[in-house]
Amino acid sequence: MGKSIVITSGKGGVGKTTAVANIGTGLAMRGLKVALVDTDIGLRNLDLLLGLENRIVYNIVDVVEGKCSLKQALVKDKRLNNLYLLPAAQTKEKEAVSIDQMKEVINDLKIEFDYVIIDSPAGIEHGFKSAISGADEAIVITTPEVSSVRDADRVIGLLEAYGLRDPRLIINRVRFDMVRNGEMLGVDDLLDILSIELLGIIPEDENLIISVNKGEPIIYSGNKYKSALAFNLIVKRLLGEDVSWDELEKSESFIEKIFKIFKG
Amino acid sequence: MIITNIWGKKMSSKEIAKERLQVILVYDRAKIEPKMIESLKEDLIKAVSKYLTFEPDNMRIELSQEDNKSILRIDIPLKE
Repeated sequence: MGKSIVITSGKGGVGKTTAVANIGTGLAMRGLKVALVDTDIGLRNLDLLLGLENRIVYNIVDVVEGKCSLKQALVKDKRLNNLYLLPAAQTKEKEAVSIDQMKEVINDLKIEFDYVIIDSPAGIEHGFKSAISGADEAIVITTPEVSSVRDADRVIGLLEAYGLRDPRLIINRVRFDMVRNGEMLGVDDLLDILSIELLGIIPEDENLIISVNKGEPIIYSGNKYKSALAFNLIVKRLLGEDVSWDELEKSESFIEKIFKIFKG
Repeated sequence: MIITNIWGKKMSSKEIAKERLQVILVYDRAKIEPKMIESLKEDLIKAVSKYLTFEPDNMRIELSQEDNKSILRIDIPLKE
């Protein structure tokens, strides 16, 4: 029986889907059998980040409506044959999948897969409740902005109220230079405010935009880019390895230094 | 950018963000609108004034959080 993990945030646009695509790909790159589930019915995006948008035949709503089997709806990744996507429906209503139906789908996937990573929609309504319903663990993602942190706090409270204890935190779009200058909330500040365990820090990285343009998760590049290194550290930590976060900041300042040398 | 807060202490924008968040999250977690505390203060002044003499300006109402519990503290220093 595999493990299901939901990635959620409350606020939209903070990097949930990017995190799902990269963490899922990272786990699959280590040989684990991984299913990614897009629960954002009506606003499907995970397929685009994985470059699988042209391969979708069926979706999660078709599965619960009995139009196809779960196996038929799963889309195999382009490169990794142990990575699959269960797409959301793009044309259905948000309530098309009930909480019980979602739970059943996730449970069925857990039988086949080592990891089921669930991409939650923004908000705290039906879609959120259904996305977390089948999850064994939760990851909350936030950026260092006050609005995003406030929403994250709300979501942490809701997760605990729904029985998902001890969610872990990913802080996205961190600019270490701004943190050092007192212009951005740092990792310590956020942990202080949210009192939650840290799972990862992702530095702001323009290469991520390029990877989304191409539909190739940046983690494929290994540790070439700082965000890819960050996702690799998150995957390691998820698998129970001991990871020092200093590694990331050091590597960033190292990369910055090299850039400065080249820029003269 | 360095901004001065209401007590005249120099604060970075990061410190301002942290302070604002810490205050609003106490209200969010307690499911209380900050404005409600203001109304409560006004009602308390009316009610307590009936029985005791005090300076309304010296009254302090503070919502805080300890061990996952929201605590409302009301301080009313009485006139001698």
